[in-house]
Amino acid sequence: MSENNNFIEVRNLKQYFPIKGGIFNGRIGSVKAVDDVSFSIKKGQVMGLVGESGCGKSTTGRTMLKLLDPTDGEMLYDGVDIFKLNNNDLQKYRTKMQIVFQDPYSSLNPRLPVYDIIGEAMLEHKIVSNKEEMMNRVFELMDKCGLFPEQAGRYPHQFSGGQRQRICIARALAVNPEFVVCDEAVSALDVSIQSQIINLLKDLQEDLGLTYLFISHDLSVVKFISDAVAVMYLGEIVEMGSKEQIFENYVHPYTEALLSAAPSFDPRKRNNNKRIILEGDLPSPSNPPSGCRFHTRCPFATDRCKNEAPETFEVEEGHSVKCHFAKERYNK
Amino acid sequence: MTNLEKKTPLLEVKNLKTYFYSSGGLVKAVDDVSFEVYQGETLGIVGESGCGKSMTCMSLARLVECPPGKYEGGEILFENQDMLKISEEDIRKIRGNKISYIFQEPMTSLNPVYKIGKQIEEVLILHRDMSKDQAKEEAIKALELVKIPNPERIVNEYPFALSGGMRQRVMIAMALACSPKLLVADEPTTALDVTIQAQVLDLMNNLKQQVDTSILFITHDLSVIAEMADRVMVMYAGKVVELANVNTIFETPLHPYTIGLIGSRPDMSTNSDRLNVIPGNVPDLSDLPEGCAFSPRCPFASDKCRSSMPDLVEVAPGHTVRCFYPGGEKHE
Repeated sequence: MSENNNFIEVRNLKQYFPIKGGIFNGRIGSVKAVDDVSFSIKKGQVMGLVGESGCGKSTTGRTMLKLLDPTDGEMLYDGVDIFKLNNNDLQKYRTKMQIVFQDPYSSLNPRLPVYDIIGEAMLEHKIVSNKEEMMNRVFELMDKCGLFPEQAGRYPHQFSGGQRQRICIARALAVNPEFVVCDEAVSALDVSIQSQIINLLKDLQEDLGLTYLFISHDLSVVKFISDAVAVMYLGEIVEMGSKEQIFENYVHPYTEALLSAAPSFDPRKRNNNKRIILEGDLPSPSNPPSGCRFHTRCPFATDRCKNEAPETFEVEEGHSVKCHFAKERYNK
Repeated sequence: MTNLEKKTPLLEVKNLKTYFYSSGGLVKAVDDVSFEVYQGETLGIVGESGCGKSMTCMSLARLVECPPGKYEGGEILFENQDMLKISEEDIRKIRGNKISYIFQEPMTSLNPVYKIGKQIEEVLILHRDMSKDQAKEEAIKALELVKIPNPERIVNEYPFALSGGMRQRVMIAMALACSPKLLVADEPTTALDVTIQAQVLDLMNNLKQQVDTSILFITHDLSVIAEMADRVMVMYAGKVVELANVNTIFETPLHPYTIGLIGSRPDMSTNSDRLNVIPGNVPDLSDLPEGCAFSPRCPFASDKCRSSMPDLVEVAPGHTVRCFYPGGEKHE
């Protein structure tokens, strides 16, 4: 373990996608999906990553696992920069990092039976030496994820959405990972099934000591499962801190707006008109606004925000905010 | 609420049955559903996928494709007419005029090859006998009403040029163009981000007051219901299981399914360790269990529940529940 105790550390991660056009189909610009993002996760903790669609949260998760080639930056896994590894060395780290996707319908191969879906990677990475051993491990995993092991011979279409997500989780756990990226893992599920999967993820995390990056747009789910939270806006992290710091002592105007936009669960609270309604839409990441990227929608924006990009300030220990007025807002 | 009860309802649905005859067998998508919508109120319908909430609403203006669908019985009384009995020509005069719809996917419900303006004008020319110029003016006004910036420019744009939130506003503008008596909103904000959802919900609440429309609001998201509805109807497997005032539903729910649904959401204001869970899966409508459809997942189910279906009983004024043991009371 690295000396500062951070299990996962992302430093200045950048992911730019080229926009091609013109007569020679050359690069005429780039979409800065992830622009200079840094954060770290301690072992056994859950980091929540929230933001609106198109803010770069999924791209961050995928680039961290090198499912996409990063434009720049470092991703330290237990002190080792996995972006610098060659393919052979990277292969060893592949088993330690896994991902669970949003849509359990499109992320399972419809032509493979469940035991192959879950077991394939174990054979590939030589975690098991023969088919019999693989099957035993598949049964064990299915049981752990709340599936009936006797259904291992079935195909994905024979399962419901919630059960499929359990298969996806079992597949991710098959190679004994230590770090799992959950990319909107419960968003596509029904309400009553969502809570089952959230509990399962939490149980597994505690039993196996997993570290999660939990990407979601649903703030109440993130609040429930995370230890620390990062808020993204247009490819940048605008605020980051512990769960309490973000949900109770938020500083950035965007965090405040995002939290107040989430409908309250109590019908009697609806007429307290404290809600901040942001004007307009998320600007395009191919042409982000000058200065602070949030200034076009920020109710507190000044001329300074239009011209000068803010730095990230640490307002208290472990709580950083990218806003010119972070200190004033924190002291308020 | 009491003053609403004295009024005559705007819409009265009595024992509606919409069945589907598919190759997999008979699917009772809407099975004996009765409810009323009063002038100026918002009735929320909640349920998970496949509970029949969308089909109930599609049935109101006879939008269900027949075959495979078939209206097997019941009455839909709207302004003293039975929507199931009137001619196709008469119903066309009501659709988009007195009853209009907003659907979930703003991308698929706008025609991609026509300009925004033309799509709104079409409704006005058809239902309000306007000339093209008048309709164009009115379309601009409708877009202004839903707070679209530069409506004069937007009428000449195609849908692809607009963001999701803007498209949903166009849908709302179109739905409200003829000042409908009843607006049916089927998951209107599900595809949108929270900040955009807050904009759209706020807009719908303001418009409701301005044009005095009744809204039938369908969603799976209980927090949106808490935000929007006056009364709430909970559906499960094609049947109404509970119907009550919104505060009653959230504070003293009586059906075990409603209790489970409300308990299974991670609430922003609680800090518990595990979520309450409704065990099992959402039932398959073509293969429902005998007796109460919720009995296999219900913690209070007895043999009686497994053999016969309870009736919808009024337990308090305006509060009806379909359960033998409302509130999960103890039984032998």
